[in-house]
Amino acid sequence: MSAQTLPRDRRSLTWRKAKSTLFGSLTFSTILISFALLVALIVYILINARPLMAMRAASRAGLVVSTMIIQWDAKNLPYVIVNDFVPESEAARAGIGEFDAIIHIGSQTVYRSAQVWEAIAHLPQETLPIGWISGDPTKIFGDLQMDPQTGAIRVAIDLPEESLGFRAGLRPGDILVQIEDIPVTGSRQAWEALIVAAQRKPQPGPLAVQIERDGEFLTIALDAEQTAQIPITRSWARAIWDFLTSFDSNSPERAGLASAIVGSFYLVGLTALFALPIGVGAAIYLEEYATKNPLTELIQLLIVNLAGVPSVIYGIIGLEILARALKMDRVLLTGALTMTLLILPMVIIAAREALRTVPDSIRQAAYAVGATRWQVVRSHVLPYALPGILTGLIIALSRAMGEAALLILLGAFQYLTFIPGLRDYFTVIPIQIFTWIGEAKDGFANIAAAAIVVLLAILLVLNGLAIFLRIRFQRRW
Amino acid sequence: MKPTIATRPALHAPQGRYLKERLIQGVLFSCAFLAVVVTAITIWLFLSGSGIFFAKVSLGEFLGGTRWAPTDLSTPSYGALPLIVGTLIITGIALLVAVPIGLLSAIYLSEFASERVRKVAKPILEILAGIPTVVYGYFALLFITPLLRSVLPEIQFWNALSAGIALGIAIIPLVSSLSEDIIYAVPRELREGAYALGATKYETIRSVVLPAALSGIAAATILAMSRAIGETMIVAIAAGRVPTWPPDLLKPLETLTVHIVNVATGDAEAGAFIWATIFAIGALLFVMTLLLNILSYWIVRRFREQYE
Repeated sequence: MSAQTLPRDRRSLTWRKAKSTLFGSLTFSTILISFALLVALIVYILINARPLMAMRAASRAGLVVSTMIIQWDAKNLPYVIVNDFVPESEAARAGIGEFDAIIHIGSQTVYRSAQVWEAIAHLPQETLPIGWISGDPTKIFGDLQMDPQTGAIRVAIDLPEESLGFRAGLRPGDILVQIEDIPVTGSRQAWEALIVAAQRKPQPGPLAVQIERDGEFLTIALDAEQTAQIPITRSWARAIWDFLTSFDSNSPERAGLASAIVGSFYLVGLTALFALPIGVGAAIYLEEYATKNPLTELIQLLIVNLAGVPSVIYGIIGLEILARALKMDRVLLTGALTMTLLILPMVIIAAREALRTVPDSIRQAAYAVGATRWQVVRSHVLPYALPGILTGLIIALSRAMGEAALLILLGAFQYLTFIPGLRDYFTVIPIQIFTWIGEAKDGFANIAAAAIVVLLAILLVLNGLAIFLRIRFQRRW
Repeated sequence: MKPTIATRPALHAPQGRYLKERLIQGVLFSCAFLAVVVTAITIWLFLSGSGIFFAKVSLGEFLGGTRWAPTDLSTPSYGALPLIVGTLIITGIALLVAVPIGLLSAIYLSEFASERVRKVAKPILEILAGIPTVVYGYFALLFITPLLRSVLPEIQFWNALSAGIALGIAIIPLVSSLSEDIIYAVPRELREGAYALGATKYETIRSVVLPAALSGIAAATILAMSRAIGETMIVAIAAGRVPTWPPDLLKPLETLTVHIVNVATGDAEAGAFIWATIFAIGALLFVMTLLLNILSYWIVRRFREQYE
């Protein structure tokens, strides 16, 4: 440093001091940026997780919905259908079944499933006023047939008397001309026209259907849209419980974290079981036994380097050596063993630091009364170092809890609908989040956010435990 | 505690006791020796796996080719340049975010902050470090990208820029904690010398503290770079998993790590040639991160010796 000369600043001292203050504020603002980012991240995740309650309430009421698209001359018109029939549910009791299209909630038209959840979240009372059109066109028009010559859409002879069309005055042989102002051009399209026409109405009501009967044009009022009040039970406790205890599903309202949570705890527990003895053993060897020789140097260097190897590399090792060469397959046990390799360097480094804080006087006192080296370590050094070791282990385990890349290679990329065991294929929370983020369907982003909240809560508890251990058992020598 | 007389004799014959000690030492040694075994297996695995790959693809094609299409059945192509450049782009963006913020935070924490502020600010950075990377991926895809779209309307749903920014946020704590340790380790005498010459705080930091800590800051940056190169989930979620050439910040791209994820999540059977690509890519990744780690380890060691 001796050759360094300070730049000469000819400006006034006030300016130079102001520059210091300015620079101090600049550095402080970076802390604020980090803080703002943390807040933004957490708030954003919580906002995205919010619809979970409404989604679960809808699914319990039998309204497992998804957004569908009608494609008309290059335009995509979205609508909502019930895509899963839940027997014994409130919706089933009201007569709503699979593929029925939900058009209105109260006086609001819904186009996307997210709007249904939004509406449920903001209901003033515990019933959902719903307007829907049956997904089975024969219940409305009977069978529709296309006239091969003219292309006209004709109501066939077997129009049942209990059908909505018959009740509105439709008779067998009538030709459907247009629904509201939408011309009817096909039998499936007639149903889609009903949906689109109903969506244009501010609330459920009759639709004007123009028909041709014996060469005459008539207009009938078709009450295609049925209405019902569906009781909804909204409860965060129920929603969270359902979310934590149900399995993965193709419908976001029904998908839960059960297998992933069990998989995560199983995996992290096993990893702790493997990593603690091996890591502590290695640390004890390096701190208490090893003499300074090239092999010890090499081991120390390799441990530091292994700590910096990317987790996917460990994934490849686990996959090729454990899963394939040793024929263990991509199961939970393989995942835990590979995860052990990943966190071992961290555990060893933390354990060595904990052992180093135990003063030498303790060891010497024990040697002085004739203890062997192992007796010194087991009865005197380890008990004092244990809180530090456990703190390091817990921090390493929380890394394992959030790790996804390594487990993707080990096949945790699974659609599970059971609780995994030791020799089973498995999934964990971070992988479940990754899978849900990749789903295009509305609602999966929301349950991914909910799963993130669960994961962060678990990590918070783990880290809280580590901090507790550190404060409760910390000793100053 | 009452004084007791320690008269308990050794119950084992000295021979047995010695044997037990040796045995325990052996077990402990084998725990430590595991590091050597794992490293040896890794090197052997990647050498032999890459052998299969390079028997079919030349090193020149691998490192110089610009078309990465290992799944193309009719005309497969194994030019890894799009992946390598993609990795470097993402890493570059991440460092552009993380190094200024991390370094300035470190300067604040070690030079300006009062003890009370430090007690609040350090845990915030630690929390950022503890957040799993899938969470950052989610944040990049669904928060940063829409935010960027309001400024850059042509940005695509999956893009390199938001993944790089999220990765940068994820490694801010790494940069800041490493640099803080190093800036903190600059001896007080150096600062006091500068103050004695009439330098202001800013001048002291700029002309004395930072130059003294420069090698350590470089080491921290290199370590952050190595972390960024090896990072997988943020990029796999937010950058689109498609190799593009020439690379574009606003378009999807693929990195070395993401290719490995793609093969693992794909439906290729064990033994298919595509599995050999993950060894070549993995070996490249391993060598890159290893060299960077060793470099930073070496710089830190050399630096520490200066003051001790």
